[in-house]
Amino acid sequence: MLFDVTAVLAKTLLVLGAVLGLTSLLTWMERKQSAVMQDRLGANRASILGVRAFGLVHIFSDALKMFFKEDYVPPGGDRILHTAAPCIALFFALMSFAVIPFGDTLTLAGRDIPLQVLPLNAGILFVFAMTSLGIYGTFLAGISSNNKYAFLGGLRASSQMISYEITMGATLIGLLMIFGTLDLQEINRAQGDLLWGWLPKWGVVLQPFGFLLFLIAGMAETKRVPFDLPEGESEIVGYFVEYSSMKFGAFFMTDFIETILIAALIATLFFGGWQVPFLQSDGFHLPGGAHLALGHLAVVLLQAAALGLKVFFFCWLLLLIRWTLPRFRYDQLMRFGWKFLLPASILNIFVTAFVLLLLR
Amino acid sequence: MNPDELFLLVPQSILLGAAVLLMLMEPFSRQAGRRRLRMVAVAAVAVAAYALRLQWGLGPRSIGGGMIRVDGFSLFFQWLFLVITGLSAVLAADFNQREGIDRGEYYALLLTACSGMSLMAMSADLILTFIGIEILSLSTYILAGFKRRDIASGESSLKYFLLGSFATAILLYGIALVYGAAGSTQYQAIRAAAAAGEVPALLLPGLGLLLVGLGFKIGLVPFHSWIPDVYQGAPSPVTAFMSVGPKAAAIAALLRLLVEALPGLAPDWTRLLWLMAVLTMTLGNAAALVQSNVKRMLAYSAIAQAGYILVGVVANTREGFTAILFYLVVYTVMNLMAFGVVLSLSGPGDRRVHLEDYAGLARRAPFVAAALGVALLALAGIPLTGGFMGKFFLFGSAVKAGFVGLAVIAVLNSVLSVYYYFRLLVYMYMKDAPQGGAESISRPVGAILAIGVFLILWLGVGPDRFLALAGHSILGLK
Amino acid sequence: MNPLIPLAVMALLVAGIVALFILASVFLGPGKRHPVKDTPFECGIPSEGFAGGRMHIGYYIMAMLFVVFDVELAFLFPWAAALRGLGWFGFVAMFLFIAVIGAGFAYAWKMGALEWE
Repeated sequence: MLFDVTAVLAKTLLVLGAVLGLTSLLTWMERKQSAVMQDRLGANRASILGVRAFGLVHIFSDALKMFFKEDYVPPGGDRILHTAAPCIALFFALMSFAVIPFGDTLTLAGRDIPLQVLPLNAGILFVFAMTSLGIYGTFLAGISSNNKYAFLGGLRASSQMISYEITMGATLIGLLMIFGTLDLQEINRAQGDLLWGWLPKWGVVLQPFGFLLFLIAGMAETKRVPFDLPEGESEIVGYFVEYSSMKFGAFFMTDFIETILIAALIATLFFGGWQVPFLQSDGFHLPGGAHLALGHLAVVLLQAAALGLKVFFFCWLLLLIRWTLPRFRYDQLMRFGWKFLLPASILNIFVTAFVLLLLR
Repeated sequence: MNPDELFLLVPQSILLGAAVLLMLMEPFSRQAGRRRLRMVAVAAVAVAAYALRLQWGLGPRSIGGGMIRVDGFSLFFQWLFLVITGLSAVLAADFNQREGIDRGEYYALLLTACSGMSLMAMSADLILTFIGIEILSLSTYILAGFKRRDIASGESSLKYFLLGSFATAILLYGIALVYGAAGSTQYQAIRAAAAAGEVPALLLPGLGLLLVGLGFKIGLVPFHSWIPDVYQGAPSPVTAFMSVGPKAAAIAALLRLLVEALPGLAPDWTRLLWLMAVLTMTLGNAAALVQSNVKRMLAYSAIAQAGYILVGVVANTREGFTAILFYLVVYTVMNLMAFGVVLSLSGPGDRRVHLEDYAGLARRAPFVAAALGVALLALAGIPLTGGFMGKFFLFGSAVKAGFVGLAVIAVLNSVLSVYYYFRLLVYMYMKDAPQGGAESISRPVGAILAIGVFLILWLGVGPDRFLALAGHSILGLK
Repeated sequence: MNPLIPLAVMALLVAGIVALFILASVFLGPGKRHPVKDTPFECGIPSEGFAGGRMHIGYYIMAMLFVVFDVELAFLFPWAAALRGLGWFGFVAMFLFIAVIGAGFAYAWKMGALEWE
């Protein structure tokens, strides 16, 4: 019992540490990325004892600044809801990571530890439940601020998120059909198989169209450019316009955490998650028949690193897209979501089901 | 589900399929196709009725894992609902054209409402009963507000929706309690749970809440307060439909629930319903006395009529249930007739619905006045009309079951009701018209009125065939 | 192990982090009120009326469509996971279900419920 709880605690801390670490890294990365793409230098001034480390010190100075700013609640606003909103947004964004597997089973001192904080047979539903609940955060922020911009932003954000949430779910149905489970760990394991002996059976290979749709819906779900109407800083600023200090910081972080979540989901569902091509529990088995033996711990570490690398890559890709594309107009956004993505994803479901049953 | 079971659901599938078709026809067909809309609705009803005819004589059977019962009782009610829906569609046609609400959704919602009502009558499971009620309620909520530019219609819809959803919530709570007590939502299982020695403690409050929910739909006092406002504000054809369809459906569901699932609690529910019947009759009649708006008067009259019907439930005998079925047929005919006249005469904007508007109607439109007169006489329960026969059987069954007091109260109430029904007659026949202008009435409505007059008189003189049919239908209820 | 244990551990830790962030900012920052600061942010013009109140009808429609499709989705998830076992019967059943919802969607589309002009 003690061992189990310790293991759970360690896993949780590991996941949260990784996510929060990556979040703070992304705040810097976003600035650097935009600078590189716009031919600027980007954040590079903050320094500790003269050490600048490419501007990485900015992460700490930003955090400190956030903490020491005034915490402001608008006089006409609802104090309790105003405080609750960022808590809700941040809480549910972080909770989603409980079901993301970051490795197969780790055997330590004769005991098996599943490398997943919460082994749940309906894992993907858990993720959707958490992201749906997170919408409350943005909506409450909008209505509790007593500000027209915030109100509009909150409405837009919640309406956009619920619209694209449906598409996000519908695009995954095809994948779930193929793997026949809702368990993320099972899906991940199944992606270790090989197609025709050489091609890893990753989700993207089986459901390329589903992947594209999911990527788009996921980007919309994170409310980032080109889907950033709820917070378009040049027009309505957004649902958090009346927020300051770390309450704003919470929304800011939620943004990046959601980006990481989408990246992690893409990696887990479509790119094999912790699977490394040809790596099995006792080492590499290359298609030609070559075998490279590896120890258990090495394999586990390699797999966790693979997931980390994939997540990092997709975070970077999302940043790249964010700084490449211009913003949608609201009617375009809704038309795109309801009139193209949704019918397309439902079509995807039936085509997949049809083919699946034919091949059965 | 095997093909044999699917066959029994064909009438419902036809209705729902036609509803979807009508819904799509509205945006996807041109303006010229308006007539086709109601033709589709009526055709769907006719085909469904024919499909239902094929099931006659198959004998009672349970399908869907015991959820749905197809027997004489459900066939009778399905047939009744189809007639109500078909007549409502026909009655509505000219009215809708006049008011500019002749849209596909109207007929689609009528058909879904019909399907919901049928499910209520077929259901042998609380969940299915609930689903039936919801399908019916959602359709009627929208229908009540169908004239959306009209404030009264919107008010009617909103009141109905708010109170109705509250009643549904209470019903759902009752279902939860009964499920907790019996461990199942199926009627047979509930009955077994109540029969096995001691009655579970939760069953009684569950029954009470179920009665609240269903009582709301029937319009029993003290859950009647929505009826006058909703009936008055809703477009007249919708009022006509609501005053007969949902009421009959809720009574069917109530009968099934009480007789099939909770016979063990009969002493409790007869006592409760006795009180509700007395209150419903008395309050409905007393309030109808002072109405000057005909639609509102008919709404209170509908409340009172529900009280009469409840007398048969209280009797809790085979004769009582037979009388209920018989009276529902009569009630449907006379109420649809009365509302058919009201909606034909109400004029642009559905406004001419006051007693004064009926002054001298006998001279302006003798046939219409005569038809309305027959309907009113029947509603009052004057001999030689079906209304008299229905009441006679209802109250007679109560006397036979030993509820003499209830029967006396009911008879006294009938006498009271004569006053307001006759007041309208007086206006029609003994007052001068303020401005003489012949009233025109569309041919389909006229045909319905003529058939109605015939039916009411037939039922009043020779009720045997219908009574036998009702008695045969009731056999499924056990 | 009971799956509630990791869930509780995760929830407690996350709640702790969130509370730490919010509480720290409440206590660490300064708190100077000023009448100008207390007016809602609106481009510098004195603000008028109040926030909230009436909103575009489209949001209501969107919410209703969401409820319909989210319930549909809730049916699709277990269906997808069990499709191999259900076979063609399951395929046809779900097709009919989606077709009915699709008819409603087509209706909403054609009636202009999805227009944002």
